[in-house]
Amino acid sequence: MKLAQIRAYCDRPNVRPGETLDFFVSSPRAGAWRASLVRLIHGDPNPEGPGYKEAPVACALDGEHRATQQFTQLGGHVVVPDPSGLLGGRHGMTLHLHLWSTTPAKRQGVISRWSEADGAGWALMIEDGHLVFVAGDGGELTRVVSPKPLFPEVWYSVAVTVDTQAKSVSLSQVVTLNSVNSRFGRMVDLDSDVTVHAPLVAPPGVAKINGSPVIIAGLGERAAANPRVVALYNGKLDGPALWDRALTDTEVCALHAGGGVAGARAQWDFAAGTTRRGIGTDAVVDVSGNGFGGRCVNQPDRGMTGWNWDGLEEHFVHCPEQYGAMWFHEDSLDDCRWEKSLTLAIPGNLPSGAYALKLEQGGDTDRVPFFVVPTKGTATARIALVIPTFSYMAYANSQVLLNAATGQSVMGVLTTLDDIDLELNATPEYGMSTYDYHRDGRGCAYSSWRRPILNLRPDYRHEFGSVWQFPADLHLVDWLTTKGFAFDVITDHDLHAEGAALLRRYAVVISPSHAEYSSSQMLDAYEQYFASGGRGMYLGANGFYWITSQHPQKPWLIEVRKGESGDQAWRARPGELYHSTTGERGGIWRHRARAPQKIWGTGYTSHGLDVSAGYHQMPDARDPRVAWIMDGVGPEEVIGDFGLVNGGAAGLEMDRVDYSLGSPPNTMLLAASHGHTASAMLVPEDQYFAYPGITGRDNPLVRADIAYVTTRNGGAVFSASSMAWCGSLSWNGYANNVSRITENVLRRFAADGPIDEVV
Amino acid sequence: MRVPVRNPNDYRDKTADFMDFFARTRRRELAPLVDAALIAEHRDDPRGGDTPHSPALQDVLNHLHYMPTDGKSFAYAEQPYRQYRLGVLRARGTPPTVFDDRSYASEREAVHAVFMERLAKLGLIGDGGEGEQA
Repeated sequence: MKLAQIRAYCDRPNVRPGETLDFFVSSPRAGAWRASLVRLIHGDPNPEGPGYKEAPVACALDGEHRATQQFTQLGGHVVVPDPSGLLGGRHGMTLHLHLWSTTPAKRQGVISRWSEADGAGWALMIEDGHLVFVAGDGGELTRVVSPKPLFPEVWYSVAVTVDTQAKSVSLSQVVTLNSVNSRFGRMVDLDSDVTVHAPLVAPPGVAKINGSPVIIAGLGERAAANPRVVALYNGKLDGPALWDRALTDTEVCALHAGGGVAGARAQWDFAAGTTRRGIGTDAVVDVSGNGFGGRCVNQPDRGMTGWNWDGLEEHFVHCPEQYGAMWFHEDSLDDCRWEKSLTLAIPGNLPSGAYALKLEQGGDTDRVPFFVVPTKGTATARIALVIPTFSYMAYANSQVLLNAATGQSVMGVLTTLDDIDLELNATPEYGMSTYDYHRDGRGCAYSSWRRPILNLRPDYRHEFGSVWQFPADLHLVDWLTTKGFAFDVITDHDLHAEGAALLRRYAVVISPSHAEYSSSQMLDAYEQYFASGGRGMYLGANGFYWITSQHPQKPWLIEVRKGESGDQAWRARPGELYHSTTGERGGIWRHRARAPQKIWGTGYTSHGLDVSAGYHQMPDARDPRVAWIMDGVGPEEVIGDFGLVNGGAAGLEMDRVDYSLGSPPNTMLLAASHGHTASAMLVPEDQYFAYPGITGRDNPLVRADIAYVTTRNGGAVFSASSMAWCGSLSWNGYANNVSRITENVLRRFAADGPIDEVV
Repeated sequence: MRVPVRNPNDYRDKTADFMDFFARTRRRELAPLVDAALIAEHRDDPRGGDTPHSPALQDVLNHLHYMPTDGKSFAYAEQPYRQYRLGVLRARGTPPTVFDDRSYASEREAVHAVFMERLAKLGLIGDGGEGEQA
């Protein structure tokens, strides 16, 4: 059992010939490591398939490099520079904020200008469930503790006054619960308000922490302008403010009552800067006018319901005054921020494809995949494979089977885990996926490319029990390569940025096994391309499903908010379904009137991760107008009752034709799978009521459909509707009916001339 | 007299009482289903890929799948497709335990060992009981 080894990441997934790509490497072992460049062809180590295939590519980085161990700062927080110490509180101060703690038992910093190493400065903290304020300058310590413990997920107004003249300090907490903003409602006879006074033994020190920042949601490890942050806070904070005098009792009462007191030295409004397009920025605005703006680190959740949310508005852009909260998590991550280790210059003649930087140290190997796309504005083939990098990010470092009791119920199998799974469990600094929960129970809404993504490795089988995402897509890369098709690789990141113009350079574009996460720009691109004569092959399933946003200032970061239905790993809380980074409504595209059927003819209908099945031909399969698709396949043949993915081409996740959801009226149903198990289930969005009889044994919606639809100007779309399809391509030495049908369609789609419309 | 709610630590999650009751009851209901034939069915085809699982085995598996994560056994692919061991998950972030005393040459065998370990843990078989007979 190996829990740590050399790991690396690169700064983005896509790169063009002539550009450079930066790599960031860390190893727990000092010494040399060896770099090389490889082209990736096939990853799945299943002995029933063709086995692992990669090809070395000569590279300027070939050879030995020195390893260092790099530090990762985990946890969301805000840093407010204070080089002149004006927020130091040496002449007295008042703090006020609203707080909604998720894990009050843990020691954590709420807001501070503090050095843990020196015991100097001031800090509002939570210890053992109680609010605590400390101040000092490394010697004697002022310490005041609230006698009443905090209730988790209940809003409190919290104030601290430090009076250096009267040499006293006060800490007060007042519950500001309403019917909707907290875990429970008004009927609880809650006694959690309190004010406590204590002598000011030592005023807040500034000498030992000269130049240190104010930190919201953590404590500085030591005195520094940019310290490491420890004791990270879990929960929401709203409207922190600081005055450089002790407010009067009357003024503090006014704050607790929801009023304001003029003259704050700094007052942070987390909703300031919200526009119709959300709040896609790390900037934190100081509305006092004194210039103490801050920066978010590690992407705390923005657009969160605040202390005064009344439940009448569900979209933060319409009511920012009730969305003043950020939700911080001790384990969020937007960028490992390692020191750059290497820069790879992509040769001008390097063909488009899937590549990896290979790192070898001792007996350990890591491969960091990236995708070489054609020079901007050009295509080098008639076929494009669209690598679903948004989906790779959504699944990045998922640890579902390690942490979620229901995971095995969903999969329908007893779990098998390997070293990568166990390494992820041991390395929280690599962050999590949109399938995981933060330590405080909130689903993870943001996912970053800039970290080692251990499940984005070519030979990883995946905790779900079958190759998934990139290793599964290599089934298709291998088949295209073996069959001799010339193809370009492009990524979701390119498609999001360039739209339909990118697709129009190709005769046919292929979406591989599981392009589940899409932005509106990506859907627009496909729809416009197909509507104007483009051709597409959707050789996967559960694609184009979750609404996904790219951070406008951090393109390596995506945002997903799961809910209100769909196959949800978690569900956004009431009032929090809208994306902070774009202002778009989250959830599934079907609920925004863009079901995948409208573009691809098919859309998500069921998952069955234990056993796959074959497809049975429907009457359309024998329509002479599509005889070219079925050429070489007998009328009685079951299609794909074999393969590397659980024994069949129809499995894992599956789509269906549904004219009511937007499959074009002329969509042909060539074949549909049958024979799924009692663990294959109808998706939640089709379960208007929960009822027995929704499994593969007894429900006709649990199936995968092979669909074909033509469009104007010679366009067409072919959909296989199963994540397992590509896992059958190599069966029997690539001679099988899945391979044959795929080849028939691809050769025709890639050829010159329009395709006859079938209506 | 007013007795307000003051301390969250004074209150425990009483739904755990029913979860315990349900677990005990469900295991009593499942116990008669677990016999040598059911164990042999799982041993011969753990996924049900050759023949669909019988309703009895599916009921038992549904219960085994749903067990809490901490203490849940798993098949550890020490060398995928070549060598497997039995492991037990611990709380989040705590390294799992992997047992070195036995290894399995195939995932099928390892998954069946997981099945037997969970049955034993739930008291649905004795140690070395029905499994040995199967």
